Amino acid sequence: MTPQALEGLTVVEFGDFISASYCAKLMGDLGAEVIKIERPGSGEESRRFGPFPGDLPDPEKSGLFLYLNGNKHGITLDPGTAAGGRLFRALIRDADVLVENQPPGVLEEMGLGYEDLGKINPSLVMTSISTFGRWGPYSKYKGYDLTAWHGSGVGPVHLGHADREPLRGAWYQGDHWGAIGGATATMLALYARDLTGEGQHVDLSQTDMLASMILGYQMVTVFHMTGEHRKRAGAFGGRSAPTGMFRCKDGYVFLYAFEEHQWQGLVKAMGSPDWAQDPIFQLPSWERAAYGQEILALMEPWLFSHTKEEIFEACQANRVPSGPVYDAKDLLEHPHLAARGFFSVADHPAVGRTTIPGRPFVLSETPWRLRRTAPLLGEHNDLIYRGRLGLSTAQLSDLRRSGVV
Amino acid sequence: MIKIESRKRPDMVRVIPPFAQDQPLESLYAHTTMRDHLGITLDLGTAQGQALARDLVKSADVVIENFSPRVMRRYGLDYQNIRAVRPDVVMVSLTGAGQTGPQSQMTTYGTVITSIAGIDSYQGYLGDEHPSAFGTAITDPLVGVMGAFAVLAALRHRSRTGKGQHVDLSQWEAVASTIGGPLMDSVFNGRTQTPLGNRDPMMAPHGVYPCKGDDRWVSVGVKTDEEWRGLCDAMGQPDLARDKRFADGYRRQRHHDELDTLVGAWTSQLTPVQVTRALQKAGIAAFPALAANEVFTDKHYKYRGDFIEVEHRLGKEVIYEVPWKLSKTPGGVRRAAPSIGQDNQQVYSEILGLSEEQIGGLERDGVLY
Repeated sequence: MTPQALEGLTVVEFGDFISASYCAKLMGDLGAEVIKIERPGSGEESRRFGPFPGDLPDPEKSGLFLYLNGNKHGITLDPGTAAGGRLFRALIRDADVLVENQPPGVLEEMGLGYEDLGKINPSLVMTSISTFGRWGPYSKYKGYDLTAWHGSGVGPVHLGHADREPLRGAWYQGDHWGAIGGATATMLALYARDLTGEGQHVDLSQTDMLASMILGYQMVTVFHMTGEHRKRAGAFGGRSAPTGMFRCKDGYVFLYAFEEHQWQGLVKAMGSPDWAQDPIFQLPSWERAAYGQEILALMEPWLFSHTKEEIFEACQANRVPSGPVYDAKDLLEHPHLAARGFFSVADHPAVGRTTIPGRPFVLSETPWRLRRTAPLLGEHNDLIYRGRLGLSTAQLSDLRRSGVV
Repeated sequence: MIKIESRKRPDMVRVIPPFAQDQPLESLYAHTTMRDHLGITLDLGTAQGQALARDLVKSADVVIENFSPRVMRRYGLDYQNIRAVRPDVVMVSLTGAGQTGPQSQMTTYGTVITSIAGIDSYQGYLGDEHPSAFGTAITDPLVGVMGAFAVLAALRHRSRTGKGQHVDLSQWEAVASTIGGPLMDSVFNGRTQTPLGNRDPMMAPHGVYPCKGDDRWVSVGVKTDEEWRGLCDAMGQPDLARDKRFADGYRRQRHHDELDTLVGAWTSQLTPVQVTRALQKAGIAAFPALAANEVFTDKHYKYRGDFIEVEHRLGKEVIYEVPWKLSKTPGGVRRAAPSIGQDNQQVYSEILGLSEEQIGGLERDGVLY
């Protein structure tokens, strides 16, 4: 067995839905031992989200849950009870990391905020992922992925049409960003711990992530210097043409002709039509942008008579940044992803043999592997409570009877 | 952090207007992204330039690059060559499609990644056939952060084993790894999901509603029956809570269009802030859809220090701060972005030990250009 980059690290996860799960998954995928805490009975939200095979709801068969929780141990626990709180603290005592995304105030009410846990385990890195962060004027506000997209300005500035409502980013990108930011910040805190011996509290706000890293990095300096700020205006803010998603024979394709050599490459890919020689199309892209509609109309005969793969191939041959708009099925069947082994196949006790998306990146010395599929609800109660915490069989039965586990 | 650039082919973020003090290669985009870097010039197209780059790597812990694989090979700076001069280096390559596979040499920009990674096909208004493109390359910073995560994990491994490694990060895969739900739906059911706009399969009402004023909106998400009753009360229509069409989440989802009309009629008489206050008080997720200027001047983002002023040699400017808040080692921006080649003297003399004469010679020969 090859070694794993995060071997020896223990991560406790107590969350719902995507952000905490994906954050802990990133670490579990690299070899950390993740102990996922779910509430007894119902388990966490993504068990109810689906998709389910044949659309038949079953908390053990949710596709989202299966994907987000591979490489983890799963236990049930109600930390809101006195006995549950004690077990939670016992787990934290020996943990390196706690990842949580509970609504504001929930952990503090149970006496499980950083103030309390940091005392039990001073070397603990506690990572809290939330919509608005754990401090600041809006920190007590409730929020979801939707809230983060629009509250960060990214929806209103970058998504949707100017004359309609702003859109949120598809497929909980805000939750995933919170997770990736949270995992990175956790690693930074562990790096600091290696130097100082001390743990700390990592406060990851999803609106901070979106507002600073998408909106801010492009716009905040310009805004303070010039007062200029933009509103949503389609692909690339309408600042370049042709740049955007274009309909073709069998779907859509994304073309990006911003730099001069890219535009010339696109002209070649289209077979160097006469219209492209018109002097107005020799302008720099940001001036050419004023003729976006005219250019699109002239391009359409070529677009409509070619498939997205044909256009992709012709554009790539001429070094034009481009790509087909793929859906999940396209990805699952794609020879490039297959060649790199992006998807894996595993046997899950409830679902059976299934394909599961794999690692986000490839490490040369400590390669990703699926050590175990997502846990059934409470699957590792024995392993963790008896094996790790040293409880007796009788004690565990009592906890089960009283609904703590 | 030492950033290698060349005037021969300036980094794209240096050449996009507007510019600080109208000076060339001083794009404000470069000023936000290159902070905390030492800026040096080095023409990697020359043999001497490549040799100097390898010398720099000798004293480096991490090498970060985002070229097509063939470019780094041409420069003699691919992982095999880098490792030869610094065996325990952690190198991260942030390519569009990865180091291997039939499409590994493809030309991409961030805007393309959301398309090939599947996100764009789910992005758009409910019922619209045409997907709605993002106004910017949202994945550029995302894959950068993912790369930083991978580097930190690899450094942890190095500190325990002494071994470096190569991180092959395909932006296509990194981003595709965030759409587990639709991928599993295709695996389980062969279904191709379509854009949901602002809706959510688990919450209703869930959307962005018009408010008083021009282009003013508020987002509202209702998860539980209790929250739904709270919304009815806040709207001054407690009877709605007994309406059978909206009795539970399933029914509210089925009658979402009617809900949108009802909620929109209420919100359009109020400002986004009024709706937010009323609903948050009732325990319901609501918040204004903020314009960019509002985000940059908002009290919450100010309080959290998300945007800060730095002293650049061309004048004071505001850039974004580290987005995550660490209670004991907060970190933060230490230095404004360099002008191109600003730190040549420091890096080439202090790190590589070159004399003034040698540096002058390399400048004359166009190696440091």
